[in-house]
Amino acid sequence: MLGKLLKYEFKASGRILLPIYLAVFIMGILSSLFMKVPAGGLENLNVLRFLSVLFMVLYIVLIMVAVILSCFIAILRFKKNLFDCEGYLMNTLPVKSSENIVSKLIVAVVYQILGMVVAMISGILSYLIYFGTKGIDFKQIINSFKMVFQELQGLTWVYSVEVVVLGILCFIAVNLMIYAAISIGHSANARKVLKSVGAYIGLYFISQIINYTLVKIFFAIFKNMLHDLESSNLIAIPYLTGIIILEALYCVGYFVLTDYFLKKKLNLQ
Amino acid sequence: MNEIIFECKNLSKSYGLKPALKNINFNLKRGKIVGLLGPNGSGKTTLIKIANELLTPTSGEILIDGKNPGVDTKKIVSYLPDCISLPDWMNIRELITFYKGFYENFKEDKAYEMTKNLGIDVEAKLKTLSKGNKEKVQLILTMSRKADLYLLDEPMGGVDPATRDYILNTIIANYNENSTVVISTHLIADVEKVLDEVIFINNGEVVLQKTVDDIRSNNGMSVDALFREVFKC
Repeated sequence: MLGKLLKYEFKASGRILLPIYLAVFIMGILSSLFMKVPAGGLENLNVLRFLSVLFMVLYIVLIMVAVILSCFIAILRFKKNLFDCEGYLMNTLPVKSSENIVSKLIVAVVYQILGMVVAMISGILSYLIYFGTKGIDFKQIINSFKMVFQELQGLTWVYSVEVVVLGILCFIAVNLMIYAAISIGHSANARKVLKSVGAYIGLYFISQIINYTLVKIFFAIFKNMLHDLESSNLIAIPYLTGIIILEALYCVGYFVLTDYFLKKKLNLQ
Repeated sequence: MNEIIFECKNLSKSYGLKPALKNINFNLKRGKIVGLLGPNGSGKTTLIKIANELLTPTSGEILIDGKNPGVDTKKIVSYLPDCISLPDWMNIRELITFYKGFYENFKEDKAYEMTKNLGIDVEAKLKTLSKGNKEKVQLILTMSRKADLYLLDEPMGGVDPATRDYILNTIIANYNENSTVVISTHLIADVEKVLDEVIFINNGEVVLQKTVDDIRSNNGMSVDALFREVFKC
Protein backbone atom coordinates (compact mmCIF):
# COMPACT_ATOMS: atom_id res chain seq x y z
CA MET A 1 0.00 0.00 0.00
CA LEU A 2 2.94 2.36 0.62
CA GLY A 3 3.77 2.22 -3.09
CA LYS A 4 0.22 3.27 -4.00
CA LEU A 5 0.30 6.11 -1.47
CA LEU A 6 3.67 7.27 -2.82
CA LYS A 7 2.38 7.26 -6.40
CA TYR A 8 -0.60 9.37 -5.36
CA GLU A 9 1.54 11.77 -3.28
CA PHE A 10 4.15 12.27 -6.01
CA LYS A 11 1.36 13.13 -8.43
CA ALA A 12 -0.43 15.46 -5.98
CA SER A 13 2.69 17.52 -5.15
CA GLY A 14 4.36 17.16 -8.55
CA ARG A 15 1.47 18.74 -10.45
CA ILE A 16 2.34 22.03 -8.68
CA LEU A 17 6.10 21.74 -8.08
CA LEU A 18 7.37 20.16 -11.31
CA PRO A 19 6.13 22.98 -13.60
CA ILE A 20 7.84 25.51 -11.28
CA TYR A 21 11.10 23.53 -11.27
CA LEU A 22 10.94 23.37 -15.06
CA ALA A 23 10.30 27.12 -15.18
CA VAL A 24 13.38 27.72 -12.96
CA PHE A 25 15.48 25.66 -15.33
CA ILE A 26 14.21 27.40 -18.47
CA MET A 27 14.40 30.88 -16.95
CA GLY A 28 18.01 30.27 -15.88
CA ILE A 29 18.99 29.44 -19.45
CA LEU A 30 16.92 32.29 -20.93
CA SER A 31 18.35 34.93 -18.59
CA SER A 32 21.97 33.94 -19.35
CA LEU A 33 21.23 33.76 -23.10
CA PHE A 34 19.75 37.26 -23.13
CA MET A 35 22.73 38.62 -21.21
CA LYS A 36 25.08 36.99 -23.72
CA VAL A 37 23.40 38.14 -26.97
CA PRO A 38 25.34 41.15 -28.29
CA ALA A 39 23.28 44.25 -28.93
CA GLY A 40 22.97 45.27 -32.62
CA GLY A 41 21.84 48.87 -32.59
CA LEU A 42 21.23 51.37 -29.85
CA GLU A 43 17.41 50.79 -29.93
CA ASN A 44 17.89 47.04 -29.54
CA LEU A 45 20.37 47.56 -26.72
CA ASN A 46 17.75 49.02 -24.38
CA VAL A 47 15.23 46.28 -25.17
CA LEU A 48 17.82 43.54 -24.67
CA ARG A 49 19.07 45.08 -21.46
CA PHE A 50 15.53 45.36 -20.19
CA LEU A 51 14.78 41.74 -21.13
CA SER A 52 18.00 40.39 -19.64
CA VAL A 53 17.35 42.21 -16.35
CA LEU A 54 13.69 41.09 -16.40
CA PHE A 55 14.62 37.43 -16.96
CA MET A 56 17.31 37.57 -14.29
CA VAL A 57 14.85 39.04 -11.76
CA LEU A 58 12.24 36.45 -12.77
CA TYR A 59 14.84 33.71 -12.43
CA ILE A 60 15.78 34.75 -8.89
CA VAL A 61 12.11 35.18 -7.90
CA LEU A 62 11.30 31.73 -9.34
CA ILE A 63 14.10 30.09 -7.35
CA MET A 64 12.74 31.70 -4.19
CA VAL A 65 9.18 30.65 -5.06
CA ALA A 66 10.33 27.07 -5.76
CA VAL A 67 12.16 26.78 -2.42
CA ILE A 68 9.32 28.34 -0.40
CA LEU A 69 6.66 26.36 -2.24
CA SER A 70 8.42 23.01 -1.77
CA CYS A 71 8.26 23.59 2.02
CA PHE A 72 4.76 25.09 1.93
CA ILE A 73 3.34 22.22 -0.17
CA ALA A 74 4.80 19.66 2.24
CA ILE A 75 3.02 21.31 5.18
CA LEU A 76 -0.19 21.91 3.22
CA ARG A 77 -0.36 18.32 1.91
CA PHE A 78 0.03 16.91 5.42
CA LYS A 79 -2.56 19.22 6.98
CA LYS A 80 -5.12 19.26 4.18
CA ASN A 81 -4.84 15.60 3.27
CA LEU A 82 -4.99 14.19 6.80
CA PHE A 83 -6.77 16.77 8.96
CA ASP A 84 -9.19 18.61 6.69
CA CYS A 85 -12.00 17.18 4.54
CA GLU A 86 -9.65 14.92 2.54
CA GLY A 87 -8.73 13.34 5.89
CA TYR A 88 -12.08 11.55 5.84
CA LEU A 89 -10.84 9.66 2.79
CA MET A 90 -7.15 9.22 3.64
CA ASN A 91 -7.74 8.14 7.25
CA THR A 92 -10.34 5.55 6.23
CA LEU A 93 -8.16 3.86 3.60
CA PRO A 94 -7.04 0.40 4.71
CA VAL A 95 -3.50 1.60 5.40
CA LYS A 96 -1.55 2.12 8.61
CA SER A 97 -1.18 5.69 9.88
CA SER A 98 2.59 5.20 9.69
CA GLU A 99 2.30 4.51 5.93
CA ASN A 100 0.43 7.79 5.46
CA ILE A 101 3.20 9.66 7.32
CA VAL A 102 6.07 7.89 5.51
CA SER A 103 4.56 8.49 2.07
CA LYS A 104 4.15 12.21 2.72
CA LEU A 105 7.60 12.49 4.25
CA ILE A 106 9.41 10.75 1.39
CA VAL A 107 7.64 12.88 -1.22
CA ALA A 108 8.26 16.12 0.71
CA VAL A 109 12.00 15.41 1.15
CA VAL A 110 12.47 14.23 -2.46
CA TYR A 111 10.82 17.37 -3.89
CA GLN A 112 12.73 19.67 -1.49
CA ILE A 113 16.07 18.12 -2.46
CA LEU A 114 15.06 18.07 -6.13
CA GLY A 115 14.26 21.80 -5.89
CA MET A 116 17.75 22.52 -4.58
CA VAL A 117 19.37 20.32 -7.23
CA VAL A 118 17.38 22.04 -10.02
CA ALA A 119 18.37 25.49 -8.70
CA MET A 120 22.05 24.45 -8.50
CA ILE A 121 22.16 22.86 -11.95
CA SER A 122 20.36 25.78 -13.59
CA GLY A 123 22.77 28.17 -11.82
CA ILE A 124 25.84 26.27 -13.04
CA LEU A 125 24.37 25.99 -16.54
CA SER A 126 23.59 29.72 -16.64
CA TYR A 127 27.14 30.48 -15.55
CA LEU A 128 28.59 28.21 -18.23
CA ILE A 129 26.35 29.72 -20.93
CA TYR A 130 27.31 33.27 -19.99
CA PHE A 131 31.00 32.92 -19.13
CA GLY A 132 31.84 29.64 -20.88
CA THR A 133 34.56 27.42 -19.40
CA LYS A 134 37.31 29.97 -20.00
CA GLY A 135 37.00 31.68 -16.64
CA ILE A 136 37.13 28.40 -14.71
CA ASP A 137 40.49 27.22 -13.50
CA PHE A 138 39.91 23.47 -13.26
CA LYS A 139 43.48 22.91 -12.06
CA GLN A 140 42.92 25.22 -9.11
CA ILE A 141 39.63 23.49 -8.22
CA ILE A 142 41.33 20.06 -8.28
CA ASN A 143 44.21 21.39 -6.18
CA SER A 144 41.76 22.83 -3.64
CA PHE A 145 40.08 19.43 -3.34
CA LYS A 146 43.48 17.76 -2.95
CA MET A 147 44.36 20.16 -0.15
CA VAL A 148 41.11 19.40 1.66
CA PHE A 149 41.74 15.65 1.22
CA GLN A 150 45.20 16.01 2.75
CA GLU A 151 43.90 18.12 5.61
CA LEU A 152 41.28 15.49 6.44
CA GLN A 153 43.99 12.81 6.71
CA GLY A 154 42.40 10.28 4.32
CA LEU A 155 39.01 10.41 5.97
CA THR A 156 37.38 12.27 3.08
CA TRP A 157 34.88 9.54 2.27
CA VAL A 158 33.81 9.21 5.87
CA TYR A 159 33.31 12.97 6.06
CA SER A 160 31.48 13.10 2.72
CA VAL A 161 29.10 10.29 3.64
CA GLU A 162 28.47 11.76 7.07
CA VAL A 163 27.73 15.21 5.67
CA VAL A 164 25.30 13.79 3.07
CA VAL A 165 23.57 11.59 5.68
CA LEU A 166 23.35 14.53 8.07
CA GLY A 167 21.91 16.75 5.33
CA ILE A 168 19.18 14.24 4.48
CA LEU A 169 18.43 13.64 8.17
CA CYS A 170 18.05 17.41 8.68
CA PHE A 171 15.47 17.56 5.88
CA ILE A 172 13.61 14.60 7.43
CA ALA A 173 13.75 16.03 10.96
CA VAL A 174 12.48 19.48 9.91
CA ASN A 175 9.49 17.94 8.09
CA LEU A 176 8.74 15.47 10.88
CA MET A 177 8.87 18.20 13.52
CA ILE A 178 6.24 20.14 11.57
CA TYR A 179 4.14 16.96 11.14
CA ALA A 180 4.34 16.26 14.88
CA ALA A 181 3.29 19.84 15.69
CA ILE A 182 0.33 19.69 13.28
CA SER A 183 -0.76 16.31 14.69
CA ILE A 184 -0.59 17.59 18.28
CA GLY A 185 -2.41 20.83 17.44
CA HIS A 186 -5.18 19.08 15.52
CA SER A 187 -5.97 16.73 18.40
CA ALA A 188 -7.50 19.77 20.15
CA ASN A 189 -11.21 20.58 19.93
CA ALA A 190 -10.73 24.21 18.86
CA ARG A 191 -8.08 26.67 17.58
CA LYS A 192 -6.21 23.80 15.94
CA VAL A 193 -3.85 25.90 13.80
CA LEU A 194 -2.88 28.14 16.72
CA LYS A 195 -2.23 25.08 18.88
CA SER A 196 -0.14 23.54 16.08
CA VAL A 197 2.05 26.68 16.05
CA GLY A 198 2.27 26.47 19.85
CA ALA A 199 3.28 22.80 19.63
CA TYR A 200 5.97 23.67 17.06
CA ILE A 201 7.43 26.37 19.30
CA GLY A 202 7.35 23.91 22.22
CA LEU A 203 9.14 21.17 20.24
CA TYR A 204 11.68 23.68 18.95
CA PHE A 205 12.54 24.89 22.47
CA ILE A 206 12.89 21.33 23.78
CA SER A 207 15.21 20.39 20.90
CA GLN A 208 17.31 23.55 21.44
CA ILE A 209 17.71 22.81 25.14
CA ILE A 210 18.78 19.22 24.34
CA ASN A 211 21.23 20.42 21.66
CA TYR A 212 22.76 23.07 23.91
CA THR A 213 23.18 20.64 26.81
CA LEU A 214 24.76 17.92 24.66
CA VAL A 215 27.17 20.34 22.93
CA LYS A 216 28.26 21.66 26.34
CA ILE A 217 28.88 18.11 27.59
CA PHE A 218 30.77 17.18 24.40
CA PHE A 219 33.12 20.14 24.58
CA ALA A 220 33.65 19.64 28.30
CA ILE A 221 34.79 16.06 27.63
CA PHE A 222 37.03 16.89 24.66
CA LYS A 223 38.24 20.25 26.00
CA ASN A 224 41.91 19.26 25.87
CA MET A 225 41.77 18.15 22.24
CA LEU A 226 40.51 21.43 20.79
CA HIS A 227 43.80 23.34 20.96
CA ASP A 228 45.57 22.01 17.89
CA LEU A 229 44.29 21.19 14.43
CA GLU A 230 45.46 17.56 14.47
CA SER A 231 43.51 16.72 17.61
CA SER A 232 40.50 18.68 16.38
CA ASN A 233 40.44 16.53 13.26
CA LEU A 234 40.42 13.43 15.42
CA ILE A 235 37.30 14.47 17.28
CA ALA A 236 35.52 15.85 14.19
CA ILE A 237 34.26 12.43 13.09
CA PRO A 238 32.91 11.39 16.51
CA TYR A 239 31.33 14.86 16.74
CA LEU A 240 29.64 14.51 13.32
CA THR A 241 28.59 10.94 14.18
CA GLY A 242 27.10 12.19 17.43
CA ILE A 243 25.09 14.85 15.59
CA ILE A 244 23.86 12.21 13.12
CA ILE A 245 22.74 9.93 15.96
CA LEU A 246 21.04 12.86 17.70
CA GLU A 247 19.29 13.95 14.50
CA ALA A 248 18.18 10.34 13.87
CA LEU A 249 16.80 10.19 17.41
CA TYR A 250 14.86 13.42 16.78
CA CYS A 251 13.44 11.85 13.59
CA VAL A 252 12.34 8.74 15.48
CA GLY A 253 10.86 10.83 18.30
CA TYR A 254 8.89 13.13 15.98
CA PHE A 255 7.72 10.14 13.93
CA VAL A 256 6.50 8.23 17.01
CA LEU A 257 4.75 11.37 18.25
CA THR A 258 3.03 11.99 14.89
CA ASP A 259 1.99 8.35 14.54
CA TYR A 260 0.62 8.26 18.11
CA PHE A 261 -1.52 11.37 17.59
CA LEU A 262 -2.77 10.14 14.19
CA LYS A 263 -3.61 6.69 15.55
CA LYS A 264 -4.86 7.43 19.04
CA LYS A 265 -5.86 11.11 19.13
CA LEU A 266 -7.29 11.80 15.69
CA ASN A 267 -10.03 14.37 16.12
CA LEU A 268 -11.78 15.06 12.79
CA GLN A 269 -14.81 16.90 14.09
CA MET B 1 -17.79 -14.27 10.16
CA ASN B 2 -19.76 -12.80 13.08
CA GLU B 3 -23.54 -12.62 12.83
CA ILE B 4 -23.34 -9.25 14.57
CA ILE B 5 -21.56 -6.83 12.25
CA PHE B 6 -21.69 -3.69 14.43
CA GLU B 7 -21.63 -3.39 18.19
CA CYS B 8 -21.46 -0.41 20.56
CA LYS B 9 -20.37 -1.21 24.11
CA ASN B 10 -20.79 1.49 26.78
CA LEU B 11 -19.69 4.05 24.21
CA SER B 12 -19.22 7.62 25.38
CA LYS B 13 -17.63 10.62 23.72
CA SER B 14 -17.14 14.15 25.00
CA TYR B 15 -15.77 17.21 23.24
CA GLY B 16 -14.07 18.89 26.16
CA LEU B 17 -16.78 19.09 28.82
CA LYS B 18 -19.63 18.72 26.34
CA PRO B 19 -20.90 15.14 26.06
CA ALA B 20 -21.76 14.01 22.52
CA LEU B 21 -22.48 10.31 23.21
CA LYS B 22 -23.56 8.95 26.59
CA ASN B 23 -23.00 5.27 27.34
CA ILE B 24 -24.45 3.90 24.12
CA ASN B 25 -25.16 0.17 23.80
CA PHE B 26 -26.65 -1.55 20.77
CA ASN B 27 -25.77 -4.02 18.09
CA LEU B 28 -26.69 -4.63 14.45
CA LYS B 29 -26.97 -7.94 12.66
CA ARG B 30 -25.90 -8.62 9.09
CA GLY B 31 -28.37 -8.30 6.26
CA LYS B 32 -30.23 -5.21 7.50
CA ILE B 33 -30.85 -1.69 6.26
CA VAL B 34 -30.82 0.45 9.39
CA GLY B 35 -31.83 4.08 9.82
CA LEU B 36 -29.77 6.02 12.38
CA LEU B 37 -32.25 8.79 12.99
CA GLY B 38 -32.10 11.86 15.16
CA PRO B 39 -32.25 15.65 15.06
CA ASN B 40 -29.22 17.80 14.25
CA GLY B 41 -26.51 17.53 16.90
CA SER B 42 -27.90 14.30 18.37
CA GLY B 43 -24.60 12.38 17.98
CA LYS B 44 -25.20 10.43 14.72
CA THR B 45 -22.13 11.73 12.93
CA THR B 46 -19.93 11.35 16.03
CA LEU B 47 -20.96 7.69 16.30
CA ILE B 48 -20.15 7.02 12.64
CA LYS B 49 -16.82 8.84 12.89
CA ILE B 50 -15.76 6.72 15.87
CA ALA B 51 -16.63 3.60 13.85
CA ASN B 52 -14.26 4.89 11.14
CA GLU B 53 -11.45 5.74 13.58
CA LEU B 54 -11.74 9.44 12.77
CA LEU B 55 -12.52 10.17 16.40
CA THR B 56 -11.45 8.30 19.52
CA PRO B 57 -14.07 7.44 22.14
CA THR B 58 -13.76 8.86 25.64
CA SER B 59 -14.76 5.45 27.01
CA GLY B 60 -16.29 2.22 25.76
CA GLU B 61 -15.74 0.73 22.32
CA ILE B 62 -17.15 -0.08 18.91
CA LEU B 63 -16.68 -3.53 17.41
CA ILE B 64 -17.04 -4.18 13.69
CA ASP B 65 -17.18 -7.86 12.86
CA GLY B 66 -15.77 -8.39 16.36
CA LYS B 67 -12.79 -6.03 15.89
CA ASN B 68 -12.01 -2.51 17.05
CA PRO B 69 -11.82 0.04 14.20
CA GLY B 70 -8.48 -0.33 12.38
CA VAL B 71 -6.94 -1.40 9.09
CA ASP B 72 -8.90 -4.71 9.07
CA THR B 73 -12.29 -3.06 9.61
CA LYS B 74 -11.55 -0.38 7.00
CA LYS B 75 -11.28 -3.14 4.41
CA ILE B 76 -14.91 -4.17 5.04
CA VAL B 77 -16.50 -0.79 5.85
CA SER B 78 -17.58 1.54 3.08
CA TYR B 79 -18.01 5.03 4.51
CA LEU B 80 -19.74 8.04 3.04
CA PRO B 81 -18.80 11.17 5.03
CA ASP B 82 -21.06 14.20 5.37
CA CYS B 83 -18.61 16.40 3.43
CA ILE B 84 -16.77 16.06 0.11
CA SER B 85 -13.55 14.24 0.99
CA LEU B 86 -12.29 13.47 -2.52
CA PRO B 87 -9.25 15.32 -3.92
CA ASP B 88 -10.78 17.85 -6.30
CA TRP B 89 -7.80 18.00 -8.70
CA MET B 90 -8.49 14.47 -9.92
CA ASN B 91 -10.95 13.59 -12.65
CA ILE B 92 -13.61 10.93 -12.08
CA ARG B 93 -11.69 8.25 -13.97
CA GLU B 94 -8.64 8.88 -11.76
CA LEU B 95 -10.80 8.71 -8.65
CA ILE B 96 -12.22 5.36 -9.76
CA THR B 97 -8.65 4.09 -10.35
CA PHE B 98 -7.67 5.44 -6.90
CA TYR B 99 -10.49 3.50 -5.20
CA LYS B 100 -9.72 0.38 -7.23
CA GLY B 101 -6.10 0.56 -6.09
CA PHE B 102 -6.85 0.81 -2.39
CA TYR B 103 -9.98 -1.33 -1.98
CA GLU B 104 -9.91 -4.97 -3.06
CA ASN B 105 -13.72 -5.09 -2.93
CA PHE B 106 -14.17 -2.12 -5.29
CA LYS B 107 -16.18 -2.94 -8.42
CA GLU B 108 -14.92 -0.74 -11.24
CA ASP B 109 -17.63 -1.83 -13.71
CA LYS B 110 -20.33 -0.90 -11.25
CA ALA B 111 -18.79 2.55 -10.73
CA TYR B 112 -18.68 3.26 -14.48
CA GLU B 113 -22.26 2.00 -14.88
CA MET B 114 -23.48 4.30 -12.11
CA THR B 115 -21.63 7.34 -13.51
CA LYS B 116 -23.29 6.64 -16.85
CA ASN B 117 -26.76 6.28 -15.29
CA LEU B 118 -26.35 9.49 -13.30
CA GLY B 119 -24.94 11.43 -16.26
CA ILE B 120 -21.49 12.08 -14.77
CA ASP B 121 -18.67 12.73 -17.25
CA VAL B 122 -15.76 10.55 -16.13
CA GLU B 123 -13.21 12.84 -17.79
CA ALA B 124 -14.38 15.89 -15.82
CA LYS B 125 -12.26 17.09 -12.93
CA LEU B 126 -14.10 16.92 -9.62
CA LYS B 127 -13.63 20.65 -8.96
CA THR B 128 -15.58 21.50 -12.12
CA LEU B 129 -18.71 19.63 -10.92
CA SER B 130 -21.62 21.13 -9.01
CA LYS B 131 -21.99 20.35 -5.30
CA GLY B 132 -24.80 17.90 -6.04
CA ASN B 133 -22.75 16.05 -8.67
CA LYS B 134 -19.74 15.89 -6.34
CA GLU B 135 -21.98 14.21 -3.76
CA LYS B 136 -23.20 11.80 -6.43
CA VAL B 137 -19.60 10.86 -7.32
CA GLN B 138 -18.77 10.27 -3.68
CA LEU B 139 -21.85 8.09 -3.28
CA ILE B 140 -21.05 6.16 -6.48
CA LEU B 141 -17.56 5.37 -5.17
CA THR B 142 -18.91 4.34 -1.76
CA MET B 143 -21.65 2.12 -3.17
CA SER B 144 -19.36 0.52 -5.78
CA ARG B 145 -17.63 -1.43 -3.04
CA LYS B 146 -18.87 -4.86 -2.04
CA ALA B 147 -18.55 -4.11 1.67
CA ASP B 148 -19.86 -5.88 4.77
CA LEU B 149 -20.95 -2.61 6.34
CA TYR B 150 -21.96 0.64 4.66
CA LEU B 151 -21.96 3.69 6.91
CA LEU B 152 -23.72 6.48 5.03
CA ASP B 153 -23.77 9.86 6.77
CA GLU B 154 -26.52 12.02 5.28
CA PRO B 155 -26.34 10.39 1.85
CA MET B 156 -29.19 12.41 0.39
CA GLY B 157 -28.65 15.84 1.89
CA GLY B 158 -27.67 17.68 -1.27
CA VAL B 159 -29.14 15.65 -4.15
CA ASP B 160 -32.37 16.10 -6.10
CA PRO B 161 -35.42 13.83 -5.50
CA ALA B 162 -34.87 11.82 -8.70
CA THR B 163 -31.32 11.01 -7.61
CA ARG B 164 -32.57 10.15 -4.12
CA ASP B 165 -34.75 7.45 -5.68
CA TYR B 166 -31.77 6.18 -7.68
CA ILE B 167 -29.65 6.09 -4.50
CA LEU B 168 -32.30 4.18 -2.59
CA ASN B 169 -32.65 1.70 -5.44
CA THR B 170 -28.86 1.28 -5.41
CA ILE B 171 -28.92 0.62 -1.68
CA ILE B 172 -31.64 -2.01 -2.11
CA ALA B 173 -29.73 -3.54 -5.03
CA ASN B 174 -26.65 -3.82 -2.80
CA TYR B 175 -28.63 -5.55 -0.10
CA ASN B 176 -27.56 -9.09 0.68
CA GLU B 177 -27.66 -11.29 3.73
CA ASN B 178 -24.02 -10.55 4.62
CA SER B 179 -23.99 -6.78 4.42
CA THR B 180 -25.64 -4.13 6.53
CA VAL B 181 -26.36 -0.56 5.48
CA VAL B 182 -26.57 2.16 8.13
CA ILE B 183 -28.14 5.39 6.88
CA SER B 184 -27.76 8.40 9.12
CA THR B 185 -30.32 11.05 8.21
CA HIS B 186 -33.09 13.30 9.34
CA LEU B 187 -34.89 13.02 5.96
CA ILE B 188 -36.95 10.11 7.23
CA ALA B 189 -39.83 10.18 4.76
CA ASP B 190 -37.36 9.57 1.91
CA VAL B 191 -35.61 6.56 3.42
CA GLU B 192 -38.46 4.97 5.34
CA LYS B 193 -39.53 2.66 2.54
CA VAL B 194 -36.16 0.88 2.44
CA LEU B 195 -35.50 0.52 6.18
CA ASP B 196 -35.71 -2.75 8.14
CA GLU B 197 -34.80 -1.25 11.47
CA VAL B 198 -34.41 2.18 13.08
CA ILE B 199 -32.36 3.59 15.91
CA PHE B 200 -33.52 6.92 17.34
CA ILE B 201 -30.74 8.90 18.91
CA ASN B 202 -31.16 12.11 20.87
CA ASN B 203 -28.70 14.16 22.95
CA GLY B 204 -26.15 11.37 22.64
CA GLU B 205 -28.46 8.62 23.88
CA VAL B 206 -30.25 5.82 22.08
CA VAL B 207 -33.93 6.38 22.82
CA LEU B 208 -35.36 3.62 20.65
CA GLN B 209 -34.25 0.61 18.58
CA LYS B 210 -37.05 -1.19 16.75
CA THR B 211 -37.85 -2.89 13.49
CA VAL B 212 -39.95 -0.87 11.09
CA ASP B 213 -42.58 -3.67 11.13
CA ASP B 214 -42.83 -3.37 14.94
CA ILE B 215 -43.33 0.38 14.73
CA ARG B 216 -46.08 -0.03 12.18
CA SER B 217 -47.89 -2.85 14.01
CA ASN B 218 -47.31 -1.87 17.67
CA ASN B 219 -47.34 1.93 17.39
CA GLY B 220 -49.74 2.02 14.45
CA MET B 221 -47.82 4.76 12.68
CA SER B 222 -45.05 5.37 10.16
CA VAL B 223 -41.44 5.91 11.21
CA ASP B 224 -41.74 9.54 10.12
CA ALA B 225 -44.81 10.07 12.32
CA LEU B 226 -43.14 8.35 15.28
CA PHE B 227 -40.01 10.48 14.81
CA ARG B 228 -42.10 13.65 14.84
CA GLU B 229 -43.83 12.46 18.00
CA VAL B 230 -40.63 11.47 19.85
CA PHE B 231 -38.69 14.57 18.85
CA LYS B 232 -41.54 17.06 19.15
CA CYS B 233 -40.18 20.55 19.85
